[in-house]
Amino acid sequence: MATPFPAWLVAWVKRAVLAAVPALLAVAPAGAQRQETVYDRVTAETVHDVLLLNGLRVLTQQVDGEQVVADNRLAVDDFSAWYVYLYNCREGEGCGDVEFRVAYSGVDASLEDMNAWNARYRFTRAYRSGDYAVLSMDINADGGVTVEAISAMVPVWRRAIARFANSLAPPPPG
Amino acid sequence: MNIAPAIRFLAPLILAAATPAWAQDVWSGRNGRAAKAPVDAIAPQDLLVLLDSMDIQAHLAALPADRDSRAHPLGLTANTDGLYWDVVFYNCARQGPALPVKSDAAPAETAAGEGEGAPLLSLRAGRGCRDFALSAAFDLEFPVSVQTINRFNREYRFARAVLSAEGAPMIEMDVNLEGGISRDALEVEIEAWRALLLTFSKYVGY
Repeated sequence: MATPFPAWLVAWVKRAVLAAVPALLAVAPAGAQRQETVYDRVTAETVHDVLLLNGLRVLTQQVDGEQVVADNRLAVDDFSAWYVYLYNCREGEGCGDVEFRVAYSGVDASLEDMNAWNARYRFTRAYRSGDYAVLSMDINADGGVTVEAISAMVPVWRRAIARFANSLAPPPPG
Repeated sequence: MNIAPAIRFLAPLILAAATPAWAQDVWSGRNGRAAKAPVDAIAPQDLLVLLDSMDIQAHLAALPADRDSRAHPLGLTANTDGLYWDVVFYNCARQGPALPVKSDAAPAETAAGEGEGAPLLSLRAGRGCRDFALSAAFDLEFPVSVQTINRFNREYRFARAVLSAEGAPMIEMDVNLEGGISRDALEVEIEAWRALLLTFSKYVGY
């Protein structure tokens, strides 16, 4: 069959398409046969990359974890600054679970407001700690999770903190 | 707690008929390799099999019609350490009238829009429910303050404590499967829930 394109161009395109087929098959989802990698523990680097893939600016900061959390946390530069803490960490193996946390000071949020949040919304936990109104979400990795499972919670969390920030009234004047 | 006796009676038959043998192996732990295979959805009867393998007594239970219109009409009720708790399933790919649930139950949203006449949920990629909520409420003869509830939320992770409109202390925990978690991870979360529930019951003086 005649084509409006030169024969050399048609042959080159055919070769290029055939060469690309194995790569295309490798990345195409194959339904039930698709096998995600399961991680028993997560590292700060893993979570860092997950956040980057979600389009977020992330900074690793050194903190004193006091044997409770890892000695580095992730600071996320979002519409509100929020942090990622890693718990139950083993040297060189990663950590068993992760906490996303945001804290607002100087807001007029009562304990009743925190309770109303907890009664209404799923996946997060709101509480007062001193002068702070805190919102937190925990993600377990112990036993085995995929990176996709961690990533799936990022938009859930971001929607929650946007809603939480809007729900916090500024302190009364004076 | 509104448990339909018919569902309780029929549960073993429903499980045998609706859950493929290989799926039962995944949730009962009989297939070692399956324990690490990620699953991104779970049906109520699959979780029932998993709980049974963990020696946790549980039953399928129809949700009260006014409970939550977004939830699957079929949930679970369970008992650990003498404490009753519920499981409510959300974001379910298929929801069909295969079980004798109340005919006036509010229709739940379907992610795939294929609820009409669909068979009972089964464990296949992309089937079942993407997440579920565990909850328990305590009927106490004395009040629990919102300060106590706040302190629990500050001290403990993974679950959240709530004071209901009637003043009853409640504890809730959400489990997400979207993206894929292993059966082992699911067991870890259920064990964590069991421990948190027991801790909370003592915390509020039950």
